[in-house]
Amino acid sequence: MPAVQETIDQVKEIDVDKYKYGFVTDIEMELAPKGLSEDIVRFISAKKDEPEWMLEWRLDAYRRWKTMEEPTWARVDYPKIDFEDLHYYAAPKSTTGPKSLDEVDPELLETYKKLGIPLSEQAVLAGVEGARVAVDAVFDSVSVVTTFKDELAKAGVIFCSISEAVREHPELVKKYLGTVVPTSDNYYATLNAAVFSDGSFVYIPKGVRCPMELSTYFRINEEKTGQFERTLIIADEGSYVSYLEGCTAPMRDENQLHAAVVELVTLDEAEIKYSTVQNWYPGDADGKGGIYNFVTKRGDCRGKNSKISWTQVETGSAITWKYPSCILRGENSRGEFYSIAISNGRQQVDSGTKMIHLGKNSSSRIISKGISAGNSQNTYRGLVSAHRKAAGARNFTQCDSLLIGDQCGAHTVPYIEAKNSTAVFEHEATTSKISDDQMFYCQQRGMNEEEAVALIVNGFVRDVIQQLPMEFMAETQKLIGISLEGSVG
Amino acid sequence: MTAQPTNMQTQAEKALLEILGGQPLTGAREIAAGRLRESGLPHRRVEEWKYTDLRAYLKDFPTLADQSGAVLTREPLVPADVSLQVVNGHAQSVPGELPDGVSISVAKTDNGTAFHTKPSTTVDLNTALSNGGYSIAISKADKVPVIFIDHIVDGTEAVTAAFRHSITVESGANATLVERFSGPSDVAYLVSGGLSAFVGDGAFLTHTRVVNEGPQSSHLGAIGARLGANATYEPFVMTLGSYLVRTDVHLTFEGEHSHGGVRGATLIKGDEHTDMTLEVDHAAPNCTSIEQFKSVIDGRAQAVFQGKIMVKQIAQKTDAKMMSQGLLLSENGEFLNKPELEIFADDVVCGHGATCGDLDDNLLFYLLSRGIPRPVAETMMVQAFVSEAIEDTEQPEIIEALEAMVEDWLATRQA
Amino acid sequence: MLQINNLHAEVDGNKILRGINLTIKPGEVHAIMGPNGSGKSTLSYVLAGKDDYEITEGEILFKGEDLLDMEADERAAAGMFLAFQYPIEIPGVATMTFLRTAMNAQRKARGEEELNTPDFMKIVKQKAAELNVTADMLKRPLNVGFSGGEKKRNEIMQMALLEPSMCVLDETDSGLDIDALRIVSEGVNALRGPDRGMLVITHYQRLLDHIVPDVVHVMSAGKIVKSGGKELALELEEKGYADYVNAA
Repeated sequence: MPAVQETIDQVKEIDVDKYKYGFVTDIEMELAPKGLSEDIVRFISAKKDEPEWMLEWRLDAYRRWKTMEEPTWARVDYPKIDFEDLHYYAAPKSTTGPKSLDEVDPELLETYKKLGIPLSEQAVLAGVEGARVAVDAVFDSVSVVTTFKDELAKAGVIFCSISEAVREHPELVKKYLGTVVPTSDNYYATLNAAVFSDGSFVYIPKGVRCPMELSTYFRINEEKTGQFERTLIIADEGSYVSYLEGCTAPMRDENQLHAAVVELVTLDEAEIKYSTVQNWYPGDADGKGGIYNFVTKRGDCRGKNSKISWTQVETGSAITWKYPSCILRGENSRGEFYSIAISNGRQQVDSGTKMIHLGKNSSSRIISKGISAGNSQNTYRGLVSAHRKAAGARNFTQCDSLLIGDQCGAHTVPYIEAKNSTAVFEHEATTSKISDDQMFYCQQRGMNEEEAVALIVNGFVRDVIQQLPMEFMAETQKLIGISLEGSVG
Repeated sequence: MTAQPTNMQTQAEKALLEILGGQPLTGAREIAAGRLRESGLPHRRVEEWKYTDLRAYLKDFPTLADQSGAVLTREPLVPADVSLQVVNGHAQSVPGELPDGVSISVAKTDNGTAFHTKPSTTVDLNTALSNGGYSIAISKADKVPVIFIDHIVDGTEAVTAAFRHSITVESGANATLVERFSGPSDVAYLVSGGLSAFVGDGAFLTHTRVVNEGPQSSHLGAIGARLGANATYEPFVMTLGSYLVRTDVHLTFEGEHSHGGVRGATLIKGDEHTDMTLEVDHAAPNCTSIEQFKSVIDGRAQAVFQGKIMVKQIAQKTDAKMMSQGLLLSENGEFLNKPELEIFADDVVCGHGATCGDLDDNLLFYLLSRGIPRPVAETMMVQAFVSEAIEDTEQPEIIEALEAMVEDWLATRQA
Repeated sequence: MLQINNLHAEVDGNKILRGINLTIKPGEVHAIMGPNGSGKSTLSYVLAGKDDYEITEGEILFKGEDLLDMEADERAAAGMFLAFQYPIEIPGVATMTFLRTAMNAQRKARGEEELNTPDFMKIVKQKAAELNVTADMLKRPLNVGFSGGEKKRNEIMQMALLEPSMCVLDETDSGLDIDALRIVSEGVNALRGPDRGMLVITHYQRLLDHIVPDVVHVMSAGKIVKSGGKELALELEEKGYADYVNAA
């Protein structure tokens, strides 16, 4: 409740500069030469000190990528990306794999402090007493530090950068990497497989409930750099983990590319809750600059009674192309997707989910709330399918769109495929604007237009906000206020 | 469309090329034919044909039927003021006496342009191949005329019957149009049946189309309608499956305060495949539309529903609701549903719903526990499911005829 | 407090108000009665500043200021409160959140300190208890799933909380049973005071048994056709509106 007030305060405070994470960190970087070739792939692999099998895996993906074409089916429109004009590796020079917090470049610590990300293990998140979050901080192409590692290790939890996992836990990486999102999956996923530079790795052993929230914080800093991180989370039988992901980038006039891959695996009775607050730089009011966010996220509920839950709050990026999905393979497995996608200015969002029901009695739930303002286009695209053997599959989908102003668009493109007679699917979608009656009622009680909109929108997205871990709720409500700033009147 | 001419290799495509090359074309026909020559038949990688891979479905493209055949004696579906007949794609002569306010002639080739301007293969095929059809004009009269057109394919040769009718309901007029399609059960014929409807200001058109073709046939139907202001168009498409049925409905609101009620029911079994593709274009403010479709699927049949509501920026105060529901009676049936909203105006209320499932166990149990035998109970439940879409039809005779067809279908299913 | 001079208003070109004159002094309770369609609700919306109404003639002065010049929220902050005939539902927004947002927005607009959470909670709990508004209702989304009586009690509770100087009650009695009517009326009567004006709009006399007005007006076809003391309400109850409808 107080957070709504904060939203309103936030909206008021913000003047011209809406995007408060737009600063640039001035730090000496090591860059790979622009362009992509087998040599660059080898360069990245060598930088990471990777074993031969990893290099081969990358090269295989690279060769495949060369034969693929960029997808065009999404409802987004942007100039062709020149993949030869990008750096595929950028790392702060000071980072040769810090062993502890003391070794991290103070400039970097300062950056994360400014972003409100606690990298000190003593720090607690503002306003949430006793809540501790372990953070893996990824700066451009590399992980700069991972906190609480030792404490997590005591519980048997492995939480480290993926580069480290390739070296230290090759058996787990070999067993799971690319099994949910194969290297051939799609154009951007294949590109990612070839050049991914870092990301997080999590393994929760059998029967362990991860003792704290895990989190990765992505920051793109360098100019003309693509960020290609790869995250792999494995929840072994009967385990549980809640994982948060945050991201920001400086305000730059050029578009920056972010093509990540996230793979989740849950075995019998295991559960992963994955939350994202995506706040990449959206570009300016005229559509100049901003991040191209082309991300493949997929979870595989392999075990019986396993569960994967995606919650996303998408407010940033110039273009979002993202469909966090669940393959519901296990009997009684469950997939959930809760999404808030807000677009303003010239942003283009094409996002949604896929729920692929393969296992008996698998169930899924989709709640999507899209809000379009300004000159933006916001599309929900989703697939729910039940295959022949998915007897008793259940899905409930609710897709609501809200339009603020008459220069934007809201679109809903669901694909619903039932190939088993006992599958029961329910899908509902609505599009509307904030009703004049609701606005008048709020104004009659003394709120101005912007306060009233913030209040009503917060109500509109509440079903989803409630799915977020506590630490993120307040931040998200603020973010909604910020994203819609200037959308009224 | 991404297909290149080099991909045009299927037997059906070769045959189609031959048909297109075999006659001199002009104007709109040539434009449509040009597109077909260039991209061939659509396949599953073409978004609009994702679930109906026409290239794979059509094994051949039979030659156009060049003779009309004899006029046949058939009972009309409902009592009609005017009864017309199309045999093998050729419109038979118009009866000498017509009711007040009705004028009908037989038009050649280009006959009606109420479709969307965005290219559609179903419409292109119809435009390129049609040899014309009835041109119907309705002006204001005391009595609402009921016009029945019976489309029959007759004979033992596989032919393509391609035709397009046009109907113009002038300002303030009111008409009922009923169409039926049928043909032989042992011939793999093809039908390309077009209808272009202009519904003028304050006019009202009720339209029922019953597609009940022979089991081996392929039917590609195209309905295009444009509405003026304060106009109403209420089509109902009843599809009883055959090898392949695809019906494209294009509805455009051009004037304010108009209403469209697009409904349909599909009943399929065996290996049948049906595809109802609907695009409602709200291009004027203050219009309302309701789309309601029911699909009953038995055997290994596949029912596709693709429905798009488009609301243009100008179309403020649009109220559009679409519902598509599937009932799977067998383990191997498939229901593929793609309802879409594309909205560029903010002051609108739009929504769609989609459900699918099998017969409600609790309800079935309740009926059984009251002593109703299972087949009867199932029939009751299927009828109830389909009736929801049928019962909003204005004319009781049409409701009766449609419900009788549902009953017949259920009887053959259980036989 | 409130002065309405020759007010004409229309909606979509339909003339609804055709020359309303009305003055309410601090401490006075006025009632407006009239048949359906006479323009009673329109008057309440015009006072609160709903967008759909076009004022074609006349003026409204509120505490000496031009009310028609103000936005709806500015009017609220200035002390104008409308208890809606059909309170609006806002899904997802907890009643408590709504109250706090409204209250602090008004305080801020008036240049007053915002209330801190404990103080706010204390006041809400007290007012809620007086009006039988349960803790559960405060937690639920605003008016969503509320019964007719609950919605009306919620309206009056808001009135008590926001302490406006001018209260307009639009058919507050509609949809209430006798017990609910009593609770609501007691809530309203508790707010009567020397500095506060009230305008009670109602179709039936029974509400005025509970909230006894100083002046009763009869409205018909967009005009006030008769004014009198509280006995006028009784007379109307007995004879109906027919005479006045014809008179207008």
